[in-house]
Amino acid sequence: MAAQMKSKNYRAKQRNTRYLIYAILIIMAVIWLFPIVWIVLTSFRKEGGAFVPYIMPKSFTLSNYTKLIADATGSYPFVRWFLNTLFVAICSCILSTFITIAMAYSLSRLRFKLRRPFLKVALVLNMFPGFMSMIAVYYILKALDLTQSLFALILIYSAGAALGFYVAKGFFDTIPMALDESAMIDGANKWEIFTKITIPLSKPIIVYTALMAFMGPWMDFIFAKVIMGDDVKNYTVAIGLYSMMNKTTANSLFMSFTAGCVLIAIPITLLFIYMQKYYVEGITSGSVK
Amino acid sequence: MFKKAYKEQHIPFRTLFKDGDFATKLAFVVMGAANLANRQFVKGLLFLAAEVGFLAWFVGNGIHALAMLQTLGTKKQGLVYSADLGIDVLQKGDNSMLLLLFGISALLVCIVIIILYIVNLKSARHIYELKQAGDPVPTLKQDLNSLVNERFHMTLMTIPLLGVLFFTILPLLYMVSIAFTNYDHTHLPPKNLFTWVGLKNFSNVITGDMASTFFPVLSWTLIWAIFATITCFFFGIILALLINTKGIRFKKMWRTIFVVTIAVPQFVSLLTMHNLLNDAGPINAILKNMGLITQSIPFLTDPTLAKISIIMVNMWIGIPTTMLISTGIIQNLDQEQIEAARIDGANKFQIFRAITFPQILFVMMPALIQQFIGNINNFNVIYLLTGGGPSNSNYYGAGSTDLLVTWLYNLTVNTMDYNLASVIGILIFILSAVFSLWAYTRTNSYKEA
Amino acid sequence: MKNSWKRVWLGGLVLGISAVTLAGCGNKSSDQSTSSEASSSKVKGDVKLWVDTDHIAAIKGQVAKFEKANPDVNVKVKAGSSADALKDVSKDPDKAADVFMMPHDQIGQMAEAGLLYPIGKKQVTTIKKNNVDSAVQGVTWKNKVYGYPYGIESQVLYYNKSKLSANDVKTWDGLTKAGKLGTNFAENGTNYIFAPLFMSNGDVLYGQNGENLDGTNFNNQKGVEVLSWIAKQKSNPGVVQTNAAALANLQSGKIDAFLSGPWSKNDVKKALGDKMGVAAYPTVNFGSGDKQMKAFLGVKVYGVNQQTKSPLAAMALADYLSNEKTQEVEFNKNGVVPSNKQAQQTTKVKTDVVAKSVMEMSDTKHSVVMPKLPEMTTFWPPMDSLINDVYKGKIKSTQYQEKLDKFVTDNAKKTK
Repeated sequence: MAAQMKSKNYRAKQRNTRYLIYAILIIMAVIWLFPIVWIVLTSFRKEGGAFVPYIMPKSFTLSNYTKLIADATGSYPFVRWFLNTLFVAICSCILSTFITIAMAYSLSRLRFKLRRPFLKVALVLNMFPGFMSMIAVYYILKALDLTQSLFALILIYSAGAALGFYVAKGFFDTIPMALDESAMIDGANKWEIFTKITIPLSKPIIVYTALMAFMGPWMDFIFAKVIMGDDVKNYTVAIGLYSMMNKTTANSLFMSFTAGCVLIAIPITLLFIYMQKYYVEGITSGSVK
Repeated sequence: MFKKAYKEQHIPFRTLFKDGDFATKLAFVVMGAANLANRQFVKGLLFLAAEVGFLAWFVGNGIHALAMLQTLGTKKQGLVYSADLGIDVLQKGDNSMLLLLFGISALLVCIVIIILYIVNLKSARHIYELKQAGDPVPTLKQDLNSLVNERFHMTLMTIPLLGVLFFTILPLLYMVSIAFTNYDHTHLPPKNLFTWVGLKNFSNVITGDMASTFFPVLSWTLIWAIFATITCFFFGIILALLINTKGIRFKKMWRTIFVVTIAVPQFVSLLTMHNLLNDAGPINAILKNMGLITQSIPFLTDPTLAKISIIMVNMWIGIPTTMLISTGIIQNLDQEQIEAARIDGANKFQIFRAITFPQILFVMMPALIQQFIGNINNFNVIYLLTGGGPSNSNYYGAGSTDLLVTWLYNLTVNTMDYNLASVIGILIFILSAVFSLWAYTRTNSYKEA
Repeated sequence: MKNSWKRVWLGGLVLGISAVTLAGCGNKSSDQSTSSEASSSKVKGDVKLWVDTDHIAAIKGQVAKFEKANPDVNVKVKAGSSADALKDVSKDPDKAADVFMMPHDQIGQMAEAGLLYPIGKKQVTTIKKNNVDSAVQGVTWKNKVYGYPYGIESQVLYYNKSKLSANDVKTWDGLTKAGKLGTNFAENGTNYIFAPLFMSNGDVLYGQNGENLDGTNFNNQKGVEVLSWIAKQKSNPGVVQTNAAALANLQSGKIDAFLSGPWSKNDVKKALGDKMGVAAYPTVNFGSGDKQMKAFLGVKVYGVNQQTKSPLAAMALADYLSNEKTQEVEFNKNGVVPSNKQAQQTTKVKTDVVAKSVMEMSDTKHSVVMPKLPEMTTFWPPMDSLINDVYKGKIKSTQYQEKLDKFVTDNAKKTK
């Protein structure tokens, strides 16, 4: 009898904890979703400017979206920006993934002189704040006659990938060396081991790397602007949307800005939700042994 | 299976020069001579082409570029009256900034050719040694074949490293050099020249005028980085535990809700936050309408409150990432161990403290270090949320919430004191580099099997 | 196996790229001696023009007319950002526009950096003849003229006519007694609105001509009076701290007036409709009688890039875009208040309430031409925090003198 009481008690207590957890989760979910819901609502708002002291729009409209996509003035070609970004993102995603994987593989699997010192140098090389190098990179690109082109962006984003190999290297470290060795005994060369054994085993890290590389161009609004300068047609969405927020236009274009934000956030979010499994595997793989 | 070739004994180059045949001797002056003489035509021609190209460039541009590196220009830009046009006409002068950049590139090119020269000598020596031993000299095909075997790392890494050389190292050297010049708002090119000033800027930042800005900003940067990292880490784990509590349903839905915030570009979510937290923004308005407050809460305009708001907003951004990762870890925890602990009478908190948490910490350590460094350089959160404000009358070019990195940005964009910005960049670099080298050498991904 | 084949081609590639890179440099250095090639005195060439996005429509029409009049000139209109002129042109003067919109207060820094073309004597005479004095003062730096003024702007007082009468808004005290003025003392941006208070009370910033680095004298009795006055506004029930939400508050009736420039005209009209009233700044009393409250006067300018390949064409274009006709177009389409004397006299401009008030503000009694000293960049942030902290009471009245002393000494420092 007493035991039964105890277990009943226990179950009730557990139920209460569960309700408490639900309550906390709901509150947190509200906090987390609130800004996002606000952006979405604002993108449909008909009246007012950047600052209104309420959340629910008084009247709804689709014109923020249609204005943005139609681009009557020709000054904010959103669709073009979107395609530019997509192009840059896809190209730099392919290139960066290849570069990162190649670097990580070399540093994890192959042994050569200067490997260890290189690991250390590569680790710290990226820690120099990039703002000052932007102008130097700009002039290097200018000397190569590449400024104001999407190719320059792809080049820059991919070049950066060469030092971002740490997570992937951690992943390769976990693949047993014995696999390589047995293949080598079968007469495979390094290239064949890399392409036929390691890569097929590395789907999570490849997807993770690709995902990160793909998302980069959608978010960079400073470096890209330095490279693109006044060439509005070649802007990416991030520079373009950010350029809508300058002093004179911030108020009048705010709703179109949020509409643009919603439009770029949707595909990235869907992609990210779909790929979150790989994201976790990727980022944790480096340290799981 | 790994070559131990590096340990091999070689004859010194001096002996090589003395003992080698004519072609080998010639290789000391004409790169690739030894290769050409031994039928390694493609390789030899490449060496030769590199030397010829270098010399042509050196005479044409290189000497000038290197010479100018010394003074960073002597001829000022000026205007001369042109009677023909009826106006003053521009006389271009030296542009110190470009001279510095190209001078450094020229230095890099010289270093590359020196390395190449040594490679050429080693190649000559190798051929010499093979001949001495009576072995055949490798053919082009054999050489190419080695690229997918012993030298596979070169095949994979050459191109990426070129990118690093040109888009990371060269700009970095340029940046570092600027710290030793007087490139500030009174010496702006193209009209003005700037020049080397030694360590003056460093003393200015550390002990001089800038010290009263530098040290407070530095300490806030560190406080921020510590808090931002720890809060996100800690609450992220708690959130993950909550979601993964037994009996909680719709786990995937909860996770997805929080994941959405990772996917929204930061400039969007942060500008939104800036708007929401504004003195006139919706949050203040709602609180006022509910009668909770009469005066707007200065979320972003009071120095202390702004700092708290920033850390809070950063939690909004950072917690989901930690949650996602620690979920992965929690799901892979050794359940037997936990069960055993429970049978031994450990309560939930004890299990968490003794088993779950250490495990998470162990796995997440590298990510945590990375986040800490990332937070020291967290430009987006500060720039988009407060822009460094509210202002602070004691600082030069920085506001109350400016981190070193946003201060650096202000110095380049607003006040145009590139030299100071560069000094700060170097200091940030030293700070992060020392910390991360220290930390990484203690973690797993660095130590390897 | 140390003779590394791979390194050969690595080196070759590096050298190849370097050669291209440095050839780029080489070209530049060989350019140095040959100055601009526009040696023929005819106006011709390709000219790139940067205008703010919202001005493109208006300017394109004028550019078409200019091209018709000068068939040898080919103008490319691009979207730029006038506020970032200094930043964008200095990034790479070679690739920047030949003619660009800019605010006059960047003239000092840009002229010192050799980014702006000084204007030829003939055109200077026309500029001086055609434009109001304050605009001419705005484009003059160290006795040389560096820009073509095409408009003036200064803050004015917008108010709700149903709440305030024209008489109320003549004095600060009357205004804040009869209604609520929403303005910004407590946040960044207050420097632009309230720094001129010092000048209202008779102090000077960077000397009379605004070019003298040690010419600031805020650290006198008058300066202290100004700070005391600012501190007092905290308890003035007629002053409401408002920054970003001014327009929303004006619409909802929380405030009845606010200080802003011609750029707010359309927004205010949307908010208030027919009830929109516009006036010049009121008078303020710092304790020694009513003084005219002053504002900073900004001059909108076309600058010509010193590195331009075709200076004559660029100058002709800038001249055309700042002439009377274009100023009228700009006024009609974008509400830019003209700086041209004739354009100011057209009935359309004269009957426009905002333009009228801005023009009234543009004389020396109502405004100070914003100094264009490069060191202005170091003036703004401390000014912001000074006013913020005094208003919030963080600086006690006993510290005013000391704070002003520090401000003035810091401000006079040449380089940091």
